[in-house]
Amino acid sequence: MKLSFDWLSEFVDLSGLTAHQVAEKLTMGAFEVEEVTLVGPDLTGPIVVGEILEITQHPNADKIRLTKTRIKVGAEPLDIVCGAGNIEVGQLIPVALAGAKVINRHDGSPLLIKASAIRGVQSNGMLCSPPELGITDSATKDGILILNANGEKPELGSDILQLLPIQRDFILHVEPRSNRGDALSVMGLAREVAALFGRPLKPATWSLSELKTDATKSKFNNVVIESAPEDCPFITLRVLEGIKIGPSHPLISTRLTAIGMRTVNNVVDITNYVMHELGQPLHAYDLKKIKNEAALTVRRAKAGETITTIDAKERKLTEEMLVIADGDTDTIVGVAGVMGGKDSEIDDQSDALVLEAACFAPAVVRRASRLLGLSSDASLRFERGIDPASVRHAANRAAYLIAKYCGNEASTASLGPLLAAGSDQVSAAKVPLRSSQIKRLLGIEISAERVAELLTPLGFSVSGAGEQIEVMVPSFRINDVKREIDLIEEVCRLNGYDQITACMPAATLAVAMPDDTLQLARNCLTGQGLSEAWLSSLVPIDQEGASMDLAVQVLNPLSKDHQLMRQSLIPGLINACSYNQDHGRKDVWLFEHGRVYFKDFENAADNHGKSGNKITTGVKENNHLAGLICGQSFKAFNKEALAVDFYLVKGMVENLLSVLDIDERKLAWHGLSNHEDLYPWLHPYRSALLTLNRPAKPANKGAGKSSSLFESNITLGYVGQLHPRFADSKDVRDQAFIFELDLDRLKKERKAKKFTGIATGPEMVRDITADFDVTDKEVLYEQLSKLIWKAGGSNLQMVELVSIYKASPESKRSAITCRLTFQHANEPVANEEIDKVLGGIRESLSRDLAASFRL
Amino acid sequence: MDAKEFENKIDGLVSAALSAIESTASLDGLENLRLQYLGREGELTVILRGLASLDKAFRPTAGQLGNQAKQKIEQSHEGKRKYLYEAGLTERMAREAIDVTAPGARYPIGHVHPLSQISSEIISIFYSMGFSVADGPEVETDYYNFDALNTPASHPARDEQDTFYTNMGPSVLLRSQTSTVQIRVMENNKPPLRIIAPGRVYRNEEVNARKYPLFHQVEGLLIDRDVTFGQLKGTLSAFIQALFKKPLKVRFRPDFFPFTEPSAELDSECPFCNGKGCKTCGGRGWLELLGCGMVDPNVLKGVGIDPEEFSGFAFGMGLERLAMLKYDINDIRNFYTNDLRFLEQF
Repeated sequence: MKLSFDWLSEFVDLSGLTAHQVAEKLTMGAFEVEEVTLVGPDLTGPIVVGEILEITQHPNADKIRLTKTRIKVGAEPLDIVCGAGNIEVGQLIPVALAGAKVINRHDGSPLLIKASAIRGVQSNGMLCSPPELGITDSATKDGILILNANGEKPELGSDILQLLPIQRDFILHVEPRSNRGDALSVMGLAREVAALFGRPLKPATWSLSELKTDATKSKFNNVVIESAPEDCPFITLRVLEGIKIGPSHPLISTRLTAIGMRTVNNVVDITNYVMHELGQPLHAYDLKKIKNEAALTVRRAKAGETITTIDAKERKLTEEMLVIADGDTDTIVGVAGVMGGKDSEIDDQSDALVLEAACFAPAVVRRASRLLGLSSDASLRFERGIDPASVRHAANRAAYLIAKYCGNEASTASLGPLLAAGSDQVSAAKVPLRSSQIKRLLGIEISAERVAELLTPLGFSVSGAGEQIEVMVPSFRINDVKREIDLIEEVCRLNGYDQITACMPAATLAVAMPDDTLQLARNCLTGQGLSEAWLSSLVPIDQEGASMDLAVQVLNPLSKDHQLMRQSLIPGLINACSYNQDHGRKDVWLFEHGRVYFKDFENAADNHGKSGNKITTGVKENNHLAGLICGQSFKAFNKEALAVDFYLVKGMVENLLSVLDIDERKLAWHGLSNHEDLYPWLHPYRSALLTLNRPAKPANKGAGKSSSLFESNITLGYVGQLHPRFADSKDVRDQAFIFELDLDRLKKERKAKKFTGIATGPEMVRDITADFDVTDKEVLYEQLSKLIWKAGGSNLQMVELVSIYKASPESKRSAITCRLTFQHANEPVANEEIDKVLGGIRESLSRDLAASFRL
Repeated sequence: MDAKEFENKIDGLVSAALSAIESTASLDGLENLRLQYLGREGELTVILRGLASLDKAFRPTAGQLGNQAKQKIEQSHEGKRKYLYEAGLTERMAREAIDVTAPGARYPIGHVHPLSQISSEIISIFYSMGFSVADGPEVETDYYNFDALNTPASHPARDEQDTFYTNMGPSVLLRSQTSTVQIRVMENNKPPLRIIAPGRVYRNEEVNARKYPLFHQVEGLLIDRDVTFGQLKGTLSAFIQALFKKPLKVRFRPDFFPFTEPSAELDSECPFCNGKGCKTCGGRGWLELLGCGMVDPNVLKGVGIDPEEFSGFAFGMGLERLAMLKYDINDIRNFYTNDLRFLEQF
């Protein structure tokens, strides 16, 4: 909320304080002031009263004269150059000294005063004219402002900004606090300022009793709460007659304008004025426009009812909303706490009105405001809670101001009696406070006396001493101060957070080592040339490849592009790739770690999603690691670039598995056959699934669908070429290769590192080439290598693929050459033994894969 | 052959060999000369082999002369060999000259995302202060996101965070704060507790340079006996100084969060101008960095921890905000566009 410094000073003595000092104090006292803005002329001192002692002609300019001006009796006079024609010796005038800021009278811009030479003559300041001080209505039209023109005798050297009626105000932009509805007013913040500076609040300077409170001629005499009492604990109405609508009193319109409020007319402005002053929203109805002339009723709206609000929009109402209706004809005249109706609005012809001041339930107003999409200064305050005990005071204040400033020429307005319904009694809240708890939670001692000193200015009354303190909470604070801890907070902030000594907590527990899987994976992939991306987990609802059966969706999305919780990291990486290629990058190597989200049928309990349920959401979140590699590798001016292919990317993944200490012998790679529908972005003939080398566990009974992208519980991920259809539709400009791994499953397969010694026996290397007839079926390397390992004996250390040869893609024969390394831990392996093992391998390959061998 | 004759013969052979070695210009020629004189059938070798047939009295002198001759030839050969080898190397290397000012062939190295970097940094600072890393789901129930955090349905704070709801039921939402993890940790573990929980959160806000519908927070929680506001101040001040690697002043300003009381906003002296006021801190000299406070007794009661026995503090900070400040990034969308021209600067 915007707080006027001038207005604030009406409630609390601010003498000697600047707006910035008050702002700083409020900020450090829980009410953050985002900025302080100036309303009125932007002037900075020193600007003081001076006296012209001597005037001489400027040697180098006709229209400029030199003055000797003193700003203190007995002090050396200053040389100041002046171009105005109206100066005379003996005049008292405003002098802006070096460092001062005044207004440039030509264009209104700030003018900084410096001691400088003007046409070769030193000038140590400036004699000011009224516009230079922001004074627009001065009798002095031209020339310097003469301060003793009518015989006044302002003291030499005194501050012009204090002396002259220069209209200036500072506006403090105070961040509203959701739990402090009581502080959304000048009065509320005045209490805080008074408490924080230890200054007294000023007593009110008005009284309703000073005005005539005639009974009015109106028949209006009743207000009824039909709704439940919690909807509206208290409401007052008052009839005012003899009103003349017109512009507001200048004080009111100046202040409202300063805080950014539009002025409407004298009555509406006063309701706004009192709302800002005391925090109580008010509404004025035109009495003549209320069809039933005797009463208004508070009730819930009925389904299907409508109202046209003051902003001229027709609003559909629901039973969740509270309205004010004209009791007899049941016409709705306003949505309680949100906005009044157009049909009963005050207009230029209004001469009698009904003034409403009430307390409506925060939750009801909030709901109505959300449902109607209508938020007002009034609803903002009702939502944060209104003190019923303060309603009458605000109603009286508004009536006082209307009567004083809105009467017609003949007489002041006549006031009817205050009609009230409900109760404005607030049950007293007494909260106990133990001194020991202050010490336990804050770490410092604050005595009962100090507690009283801190809390009393805010309206609390404190009794007791030593350990047991009792605090009576004022009616306007019972919503946020209910417990001991609330009092401790209040004491803590008023005493100052800076008064608490910082220290370190005692170490009393062991720390778990953080899991390093992600860190290792990140190091491994960046080391292989991939940069890390962070992608949105909210993706378009029509995401290709997404399973809608398993989809977790946002019901209130920003747009269709942020509606689905992603099920794979790949589509995002593809988008990032095309983005980079669109921006001139040919080679895009990216990876991401992130979550994917699926409905979890296996673990979904019957109660999932029910309100108030704490256990299950029915959603499974898996951590995935995925990459996209497009373009070339290792480019240099003197070398052929290395083209990226499937094997390069598979090698990256194999490196990653090795870095994560996952035993390769426990893993298997498979072609994509029969799984194409699951991975629509994969090239079906250049992609491989990575699984654990063990049979899949059957899914739990009753599980209709898998809850993972990776259908079987042994699938760890895949590597492959991006499907050409995807590449084309997303404008990926080269062959792209992708991988995606289930990091949670990989983590489970990690083993502790263990040193197995260094073998000292000599390495024996043998090549073996097997020929196959592939007329009916391709022979895969993995089939071959499995058989080799099986028959290879305990000394086989390594199997390397040397080549896969096929004369042409159509050829019916293929040849696979492998290099086998044999080694014993500490002695040579005999040639005879190796020959025997090789014989066994050939036999196994011939038997199981119909291999033949060239010798 | 008498002694004189033998001596003449040896001398003649040595001088012929030395002059041949002297005049040869290649290593191959040199090797031929070595074979010619010193090889198995070399001229000197043959002579030395013939010593046995010499007169017995003369044999020692002849042997000595022969060995001296062999040494002379060997020395000369070795000297010439070294010379020719060095000369050959020098010439070869000169031919191998390359432009060493041309750029190196760099093996591509990837870059870690700035949010990962700052997150790792924060984790390691808190790890050094005894905090473990905890985790929780992003799709949450309103119980963990609000109710358990002392924010019942009627609480105004519930409207201030515009929350995404899901098709999983009326209470299932995308968490709007990592504070949810506090509750899960306290439900499943007994105090004392010290955790931090980095993670993704969601808010229904229009995209602009400062806002994105998802962003990241790091939540912290410490629960123990006799935990005080003073310890909260000490811990977080130490953290800020470690993060910016400067002895920055920090101040704690009262604020309001439903799940902490008293609550505070931590302002740090601006690390870019040391508090003098600059563009980054908007001339204020202070930067608002994180929210914190003492855990509200209602939150502790809700998870079955007795607030009379235990107390604690919690804090939360935005990763994007810290990264934007630390690296002078002015648009939050940079983090999610994944433009390599951005990523490669980190």
